[in-house]
Amino acid sequence: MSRWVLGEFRSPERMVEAARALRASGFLRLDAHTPYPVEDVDAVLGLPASRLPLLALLAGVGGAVGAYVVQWFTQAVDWPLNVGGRPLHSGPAFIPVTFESAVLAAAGAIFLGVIVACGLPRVTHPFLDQEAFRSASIDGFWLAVAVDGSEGVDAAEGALRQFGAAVVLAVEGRR
Amino acid sequence: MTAAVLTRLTEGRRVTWGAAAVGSLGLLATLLGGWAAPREAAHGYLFAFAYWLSLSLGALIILAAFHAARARWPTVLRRSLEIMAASCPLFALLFVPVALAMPHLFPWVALPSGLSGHDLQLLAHKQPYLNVPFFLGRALLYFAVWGAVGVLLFRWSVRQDAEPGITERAVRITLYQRRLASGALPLMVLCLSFASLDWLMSLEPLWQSTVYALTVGCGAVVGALATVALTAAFARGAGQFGALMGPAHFLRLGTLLLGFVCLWAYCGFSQFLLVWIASLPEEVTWYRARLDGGWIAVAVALAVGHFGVPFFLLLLRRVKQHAGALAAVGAWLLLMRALDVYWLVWPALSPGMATFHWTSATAWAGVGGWTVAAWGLLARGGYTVPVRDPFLPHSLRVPRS
Amino acid sequence: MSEPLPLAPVTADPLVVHPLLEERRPDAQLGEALLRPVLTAPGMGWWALVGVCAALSVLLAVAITITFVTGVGTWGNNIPVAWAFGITNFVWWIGIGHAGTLISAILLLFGMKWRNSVNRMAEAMTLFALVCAALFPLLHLGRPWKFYYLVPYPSSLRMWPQFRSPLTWDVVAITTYLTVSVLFWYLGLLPDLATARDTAKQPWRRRVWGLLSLGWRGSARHWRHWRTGYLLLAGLATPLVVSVHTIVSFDFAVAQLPGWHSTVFPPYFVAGAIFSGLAMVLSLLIPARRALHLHAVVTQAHLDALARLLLVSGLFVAYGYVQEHFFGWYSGSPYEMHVMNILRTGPYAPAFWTVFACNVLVPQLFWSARLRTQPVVLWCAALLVNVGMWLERFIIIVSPLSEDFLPSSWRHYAPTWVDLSLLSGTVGLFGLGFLLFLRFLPPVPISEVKELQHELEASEAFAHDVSVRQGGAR
Repeated sequence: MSRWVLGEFRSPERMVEAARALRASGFLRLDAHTPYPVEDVDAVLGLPASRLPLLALLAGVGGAVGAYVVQWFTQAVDWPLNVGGRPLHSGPAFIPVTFESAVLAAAGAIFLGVIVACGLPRVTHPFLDQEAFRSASIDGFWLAVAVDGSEGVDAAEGALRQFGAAVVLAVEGRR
Repeated sequence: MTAAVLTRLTEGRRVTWGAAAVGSLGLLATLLGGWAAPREAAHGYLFAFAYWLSLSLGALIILAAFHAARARWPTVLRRSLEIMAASCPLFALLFVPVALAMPHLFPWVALPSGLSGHDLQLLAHKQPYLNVPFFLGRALLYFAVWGAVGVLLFRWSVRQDAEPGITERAVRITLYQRRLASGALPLMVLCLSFASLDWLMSLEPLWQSTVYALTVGCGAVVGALATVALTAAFARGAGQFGALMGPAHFLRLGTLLLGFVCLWAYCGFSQFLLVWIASLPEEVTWYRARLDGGWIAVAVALAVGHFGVPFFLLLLRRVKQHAGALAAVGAWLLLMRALDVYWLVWPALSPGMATFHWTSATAWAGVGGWTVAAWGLLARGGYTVPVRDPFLPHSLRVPRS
Repeated sequence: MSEPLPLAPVTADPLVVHPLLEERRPDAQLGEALLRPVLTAPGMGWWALVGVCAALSVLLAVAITITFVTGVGTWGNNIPVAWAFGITNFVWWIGIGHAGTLISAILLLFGMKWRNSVNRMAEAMTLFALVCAALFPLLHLGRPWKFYYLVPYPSSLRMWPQFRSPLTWDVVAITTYLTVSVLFWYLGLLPDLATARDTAKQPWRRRVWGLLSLGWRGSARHWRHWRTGYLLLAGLATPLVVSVHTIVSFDFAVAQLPGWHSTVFPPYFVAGAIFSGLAMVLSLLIPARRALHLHAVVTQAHLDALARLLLVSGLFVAYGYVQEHFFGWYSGSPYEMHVMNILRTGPYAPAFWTVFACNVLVPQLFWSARLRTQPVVLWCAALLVNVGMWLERFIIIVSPLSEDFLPSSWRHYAPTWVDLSLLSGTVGLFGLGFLLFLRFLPPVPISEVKELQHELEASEAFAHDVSVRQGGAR
């Protein structure tokens, strides 16, 4: 069982301020839940840049190489067929499929990468049971503090109220 | 915001006169070389002329495109493009040697011996377009269009600088610039398209490719953007445009450069694939001339150096955001542009046999020296950014992403 | 001499007349307004249109059944005109799809804020257009149930697809394009599905949207990966769009047929695709904006921007015509010249001059700033461009085939009722898909419009702040 304390703020600026203050007073396991991406929040929470570009590059190169090898093997090795006198290994003619496959592989990797990195699909997350938390996708800016034990809950609740949270909730559930 | 000041450009006199001197020497040397080897010198000169003109025209096209798109972020680097574009009329003067050397350059002017009956018939068919008076008249028209637009855009921008602030008149000048640029853009592109047919493609008058002009045009824009990246790295004195450009500007400039490098490669590859796969005798001659006998090395160098290397470098955010790194890529691309234009021009003279004649170098230095001197003269005493442009503040605080 | 750096940002763009958002509203209200089409019962108009489109879709089903049962012989195709309506429709539909990707991906890369209000509809249009497009090559196969022969899988036949042919390139290109478009669209939709889940009142709606949104919670960690992934997909989709229509153009340009074998075809086809797609976006957006009362988020600024793009892409297409016709003459080849002549003065002249009027003359209207923001003018022009671009593909495909090298093998083409049913049927299918989309998914990206509103407010506040401070100093 994990515990969190959630606090709702009415504007992204106030939420970022509160996050900064919370981190300064020692609450490090923070997350923000907002209806749209908020500019400075990554820096305040100390989140590193996403590694997806590297994944995309690797998948793209892999897709390209794979497609070229398939074409070379099928046309020049396994089933040599003379088509209008063009060479069996027709490099220029293999470029279009190679390119498309690179894009397909990279796009698939990016999509799956986002899904996996975000821990989705997860439709039963304990936050989603909270009626008040619905505003997190509408007009509320929420901070989530992960805490241990009931004294942690009390401390986080106090801190969130102090930094101006309009609504404060304690949530318990499986991570 | 820091209390920086924008300064007028006062230095650079030595560079300007030095360039002019180098240019005059180079042109003189090319002229002397023309005495000994007229055909080689003519092709060398055409190569140099096409190279430097393409920088100026690329700047004109991209400048007009910025105006037409109402783009705000490039305002800070726009003056450099305006100066390059305003140097167009110089090339009308530099075109005179090309006009004089026409019999050495274009087979349709002085028909070489050994043409088949069919070839002669084709040339006769093209004669209403490919004849000397019409050719010269068209050149006059091209220079009139480019020159008028380039000079006007520059002069309006300088006149705007003299306004006491971002006044109503300053806003009106920006509006005029946008109108002129968007209205003239189709005409300028059409002129560039036919000029590339006249001056480059008709070196081999029996061959044609409809995407040729777009390849040349994309290459020209690559050259212009690379020049901007290079000058921005040098113009980093207090209040000059390179110092005002932040990572966000370099990022966008680099992305644009990447885009045009890709477009150039795309047009070039499309042409190659279609000619290669259809394998028609009247089309493959052009590639035979440019791939056989050592030219293949140049072609491979272009594929790798004009596309592969800059493509991967410009994918990296770190390279694009860093002024010095982007300038290095720009310098490399300017070298590759020279190789590309050389590869377009020279095989017409020596098909299937890679050669180099020293007049190409002297002509390159000659035309280049005069061009750089003209840029220096246009830039001197003025601001390096359009100080009264209503969008300069927007441009200066352009967001990162 | 020196000049102080100008400090005051201009409070508003002195040259831009139309705002991106007509009014500012609290986020909750804005979200609810944008979800209204999904949360309320549809009107009579919607049902009537669905009825028409469903009827056309039934016609499509009939035509497909006849094609399956009897064969491609029920079409008007003949020898030498082996490609006609089927391939024309294919190129037309796939081209329409491209503008959706252009608006959502390329404009995102350029940081064009106005895309935020229209990208969802444009992307939906892309998907339905692609479904219609993919139908035609399959039907054209002759034995469509053997379509899997086009996929390189190790089979007991010991045969492989022939990868030197643009037709196999097409298979890969369209599959990739469809997949990437779906992924891009769904990824963009995730946050809005969460908004729909949280706004809905009925439990079943909450449950359906809850499942579709995969449990999106808008966490900072989610947004970080989502933004990077979305940008990367946009960066991939951009060259993809270009490559897909390039490959479509290769279908023609690799051949040695006069009028087809032209190296400008790749960029010329891409420009034409974007041109026709923008026209289709306008044809759908303008009525949808009116019916769903989206004037506050789809403003005159959007119409103006789309009209400009229409003009620019139209000029590119016109450049393609100039190149084709000039080099048709310059080549000196009698066959090339013949193909261009039958367009200008021969049996295809009426079609050609209609194309010229619709695709070259009509867009010139939008040099006028006033006309760019007139919805009625824009809508009529967009419809004309749609017609013009369909006809353009038709004459590109049919005229060189019908009169190529040997006059003895010349033959002309006339469509049958099956051809016409397939064309109108796909229009119905496309319309049906789009209507259902408007009803069941948020048609305007909610989170992106909220973000835009927040950004606009912040920039206005900053401008106000600085000008007040400056005023005080003076």
